[in-house]
Amino acid sequence: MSAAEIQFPEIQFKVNGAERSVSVPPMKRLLDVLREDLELTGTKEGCGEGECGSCSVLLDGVLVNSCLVPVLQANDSEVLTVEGLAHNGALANIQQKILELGGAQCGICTPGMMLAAEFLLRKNPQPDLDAIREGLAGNLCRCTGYMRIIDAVKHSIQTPLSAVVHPPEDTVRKGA
Amino acid sequence: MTWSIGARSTPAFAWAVYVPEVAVDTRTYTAGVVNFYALQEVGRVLHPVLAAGQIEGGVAQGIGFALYEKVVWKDGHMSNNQMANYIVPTTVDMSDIEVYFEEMPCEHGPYGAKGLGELPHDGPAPAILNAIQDATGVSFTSIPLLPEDIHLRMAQAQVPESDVLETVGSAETAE
Amino acid sequence: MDAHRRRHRADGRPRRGGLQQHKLVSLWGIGELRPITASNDWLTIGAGATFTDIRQNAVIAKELPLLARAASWTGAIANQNRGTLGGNIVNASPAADSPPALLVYEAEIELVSAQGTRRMPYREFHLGYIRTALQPQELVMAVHLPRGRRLPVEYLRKVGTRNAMAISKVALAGVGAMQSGGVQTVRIAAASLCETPARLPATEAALLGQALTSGRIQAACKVLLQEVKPIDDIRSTASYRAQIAANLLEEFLEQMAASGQETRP
Repeated sequence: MSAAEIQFPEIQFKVNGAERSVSVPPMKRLLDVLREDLELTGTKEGCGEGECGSCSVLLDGVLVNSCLVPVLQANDSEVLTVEGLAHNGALANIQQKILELGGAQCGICTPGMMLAAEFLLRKNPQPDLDAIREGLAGNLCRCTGYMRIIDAVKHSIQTPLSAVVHPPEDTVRKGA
Repeated sequence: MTWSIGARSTPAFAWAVYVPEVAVDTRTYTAGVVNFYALQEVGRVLHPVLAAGQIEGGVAQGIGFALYEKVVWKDGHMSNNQMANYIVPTTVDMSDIEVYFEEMPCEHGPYGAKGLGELPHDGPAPAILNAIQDATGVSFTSIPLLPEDIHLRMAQAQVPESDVLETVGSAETAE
Repeated sequence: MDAHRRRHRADGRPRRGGLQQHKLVSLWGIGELRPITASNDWLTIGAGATFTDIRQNAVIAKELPLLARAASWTGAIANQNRGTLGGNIVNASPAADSPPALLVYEAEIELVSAQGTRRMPYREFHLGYIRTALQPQELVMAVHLPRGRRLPVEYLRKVGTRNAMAISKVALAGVGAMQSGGVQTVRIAAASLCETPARLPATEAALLGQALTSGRIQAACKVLLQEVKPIDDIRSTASYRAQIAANLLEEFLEQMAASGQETRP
């Protein structure tokens, strides 16, 4: 079979509430499919080895490092990325608090931090400081020393994010 | 105080004091920062949130420099060039960092501001080593200071073992 | 089982999540591998159970706390949500977090192939550095832990490069019971001190029946240091590891001695 004849299987999944479909090598990393095929570049690559958490997304509601997920394992799943946190242009609480409290400097760790915070608060709506630190321990930051990120999580405790159901219309596109 | 630039490399000097509280576990020879206090004289604070954030982040890098971020060289190459084996502090390694400012405006800086972001890389590591010396009675003069290094020196100095020693050390840094 | 229709690496181990150009079958979809089930005598952990599954299991939390603790130390939350016990065991790193707990709890490992199943003590599974008893065409089905054999003293400590997301430099697990002032039962296992996760039978033998005086504890530490083979590597040094191994053993034995005091009439 020549390169031109290779047919990649179709991966079908929901991303930020929208049905998406991509025809890619099944072992392509979910991270790369999100960034390249779906042009959702909010999810970052910091290490490519599941150590830094910059690539964190929710896969069927579970926090994962998307650099370690072959896209075939996301077939028929629901993925939430940072682009899916805001709803109808309104920032989610964790985003608002990161903004107000200075929780982002270069911003590379920030999407992953917010997904990790979202996962933590869904499982544990009233985490103490130790639980917050543990919940974010898989997300490395070099700019902030973590202080203001932890503060932002603390301050978003009272009003947790509700799930995004309907994405804004202009992000609904079909994969090639 | 009069200010003149003359032939200096910088128009103004900024000042800082860094005070870490350190705990040394003498069963595992691991040192960790338990609290950190940073005071910086920056001329003028232009953006309080970002200014404090810069110091907090710089202190975190200083802590990493002091206790975690050893570069392992082999034949001129860095062997530990992955995030799995180049060790930076995580949220459960970092303590709170309290930041305080003093302002003595410098006429040569914008609105009186001076430099801010470099100092946090200079002071914390020596301060942490001072604190470890205060805790253990053993003096260390190189960084990163890993448990393996602490063990070697303490075994040589034959410090009596107890579970945890806590103390405070400090350093003043001028630039 | 569908799992048998797959290609293997040269050493016969199945792949999971790798990025090589082979024909691969994802084990993630094999539902039979995931559950954690309890019978009267055994707690069975499917090879596909994640570390999060282990942390959330009430029976493990209550009866096998060292395993729950080891799972909480494996990577961080996102890694625990995807990493599986079977994958971790077959990867066979001597630094893995769960094996010392599995060893002191006397786990058994169940392997399955088209020829049927076999079960062996987990302690016999690791043959050498990154080499296991898993045959080509075999898959780990489950790990079985005996219930109802809890000992009063349980100890697990990991010393890593930092407090989270750390590969261990040394880890020690110990369980035991004192009786009439002497060691009645003791099981000790270590990570990162030998080329495999390892029980320490010589150290155990040096302790059985002994009163835990400070002299006896020091003697046991000497036996430990003969029994383990720590190395210099990118994370640590042999000399540090040896010292910490002895210090952790001492800490465990101090807890044993204290428990002996409490139960003395």
